Amino acid sequence: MIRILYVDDEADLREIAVMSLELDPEIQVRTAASGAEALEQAKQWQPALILLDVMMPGMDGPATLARLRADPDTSEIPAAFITAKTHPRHVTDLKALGARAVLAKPFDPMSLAANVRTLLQP
Amino acid sequence: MSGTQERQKHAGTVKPPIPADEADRLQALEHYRLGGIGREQPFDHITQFAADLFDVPMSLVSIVGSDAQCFRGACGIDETHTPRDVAFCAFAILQPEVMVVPDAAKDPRFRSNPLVTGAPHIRFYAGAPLRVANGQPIGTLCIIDHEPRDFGEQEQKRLAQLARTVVDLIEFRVEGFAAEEHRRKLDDERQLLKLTVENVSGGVAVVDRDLRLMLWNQAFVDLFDYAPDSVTGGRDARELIRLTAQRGELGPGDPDQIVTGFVESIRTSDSRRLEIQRRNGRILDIRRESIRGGRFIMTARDVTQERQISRLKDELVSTVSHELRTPLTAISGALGLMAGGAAGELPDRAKQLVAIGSKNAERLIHLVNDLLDMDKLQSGKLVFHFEGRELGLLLTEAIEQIEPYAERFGVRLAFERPTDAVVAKVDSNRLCQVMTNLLSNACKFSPSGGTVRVSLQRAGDSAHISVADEGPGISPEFRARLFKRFEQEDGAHQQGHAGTGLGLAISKAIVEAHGGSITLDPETEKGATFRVELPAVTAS
Repeated sequence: MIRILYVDDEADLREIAVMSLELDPEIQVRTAASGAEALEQAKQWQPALILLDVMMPGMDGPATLARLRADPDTSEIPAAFITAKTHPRHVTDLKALGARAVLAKPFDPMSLAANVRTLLQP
Repeated sequence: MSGTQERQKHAGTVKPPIPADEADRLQALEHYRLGGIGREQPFDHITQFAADLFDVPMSLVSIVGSDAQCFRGACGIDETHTPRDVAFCAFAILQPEVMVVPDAAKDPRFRSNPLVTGAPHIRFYAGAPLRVANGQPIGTLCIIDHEPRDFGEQEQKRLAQLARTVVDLIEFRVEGFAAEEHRRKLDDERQLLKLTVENVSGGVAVVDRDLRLMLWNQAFVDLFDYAPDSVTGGRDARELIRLTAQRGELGPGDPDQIVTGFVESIRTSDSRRLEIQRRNGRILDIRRESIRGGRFIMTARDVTQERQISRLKDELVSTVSHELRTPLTAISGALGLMAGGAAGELPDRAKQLVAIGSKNAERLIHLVNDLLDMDKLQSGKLVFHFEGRELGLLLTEAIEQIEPYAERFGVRLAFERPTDAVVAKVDSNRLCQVMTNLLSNACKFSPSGGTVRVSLQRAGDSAHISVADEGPGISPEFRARLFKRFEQEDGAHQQGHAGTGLGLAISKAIVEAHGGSITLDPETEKGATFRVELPAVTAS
């Protein structure tokens, strides 16, 4: 099974993301509603990929990624941002933080799982 | 005395002839401002001197006008003027040298002259013409006696000499007038400049090449909060900069070093713009521009409110876009999952409804994206990353992106790609946005089964792209408004072609940022053809 951790403060989007990703029977999804929760889950569950919303109250996506990278238990887990800010400049900035990719919101729910699989290819 | 009485009184007098170039002579009078009545002290002094020198009771500096001779200077005579008809001087100005009348009572020209028969009882007269720079005789310096007298050659020479001094005085006098006029004009201009500067809405200060304050307005003093007595003409601008630096309003650092930095920038650049925040929170937009003669003009404007509004707008746009996109992501995601069968097979009616929901969620997403782009374009915040790209490849990508959309309308996309590469410096994402906009419009307006033709050509230094559809075309009334914001052809909504009305305005701005142009081909008979022209890069 491929473990994906989806982090977003919006409950509805978490639900949609879970349904979208689980269209792929080999994907298992867990969600976190905040950066702090994401750190906890990532440490314990060791997902194959973390999908991070950028704009979250408190610890936002970039701050969460920085904390993940700083912790030896999570520093190797690939992460991708999923955001409404998809201007090339933003994308470049976000990638510079160490994200593997920047996926656009709104996403196509029917192809999200496929996109995620592509990201995980070596 | 009336005119008739005057003439009767002078009956029998020989009238002085009028010079042939009298008009020029009168013009000279005008030029030297010697027309009219009025005595002047320097001329009085000269006549006093002449009377003493030649030992006569009367002497005059007489200016011969068109109707009268007027005494600019006089000694022994209280009258200010006499009619020209009886003036000895009117005869004297006709002579090349000094005119001498040893005994007027014996001279046929003057013996019945009222000035001889009556007061001031002239018997002897000698007058030297006053010839100004252009040679015109404007009057005389004359001496008069009640007794007949001989006037030798030596004395005539002296009188002529003295007359030249009078002329010198007249020339100086007119130069003085010119200088005075010049000064008055300068004063006027200075006053006007001061008034203008004072009435400018922002702060203005002009500084000379030695960094001394020349001109400023109250707004300048107020905006920088200088004490009124610290801003004076000739004040060293460095001291004013230091005052502001000392308040910490020109950034951190040693005030003296800040001043040195400013002076260096003044020496090395013709203009500079800078925004500072004052201690009181006000934000000033300051500009410096060099003007003639090493001087510079400094303008300052309070932009606090503008900046606040701009920041509020940015925050609003950012918030609105985020707040709109989040629920839109949820809506389109939920509908997408339903349409994709994630919740099981839907009955046909439900599929239709979900499709309507999806389509409209997509429209809203487009609108939000377009609004954001338009805002960025307008505020100049849209950053372009130009790189050399092969346009055939870029167009193929754009066509591939739009293909699913075209299928929905039953429209075929045909691309006529040249064999040679056409390269242009473009921002790929932005140009792709323009192409997908043109292509989606073309698909939207095409009849089912129609074809949208895309072509790419290189013509000289330009790359020509065209997108042609087989739709109903664009009405002549709408063509003029086509590239304006929020414009959509009447009836587009009813025909199910609704868009945001921003796509073409954004496309135009993007193409223009590439140094290109976007136009609607006016020649097309059927459908609509859009042409995009971009500067091409020469293939090496």
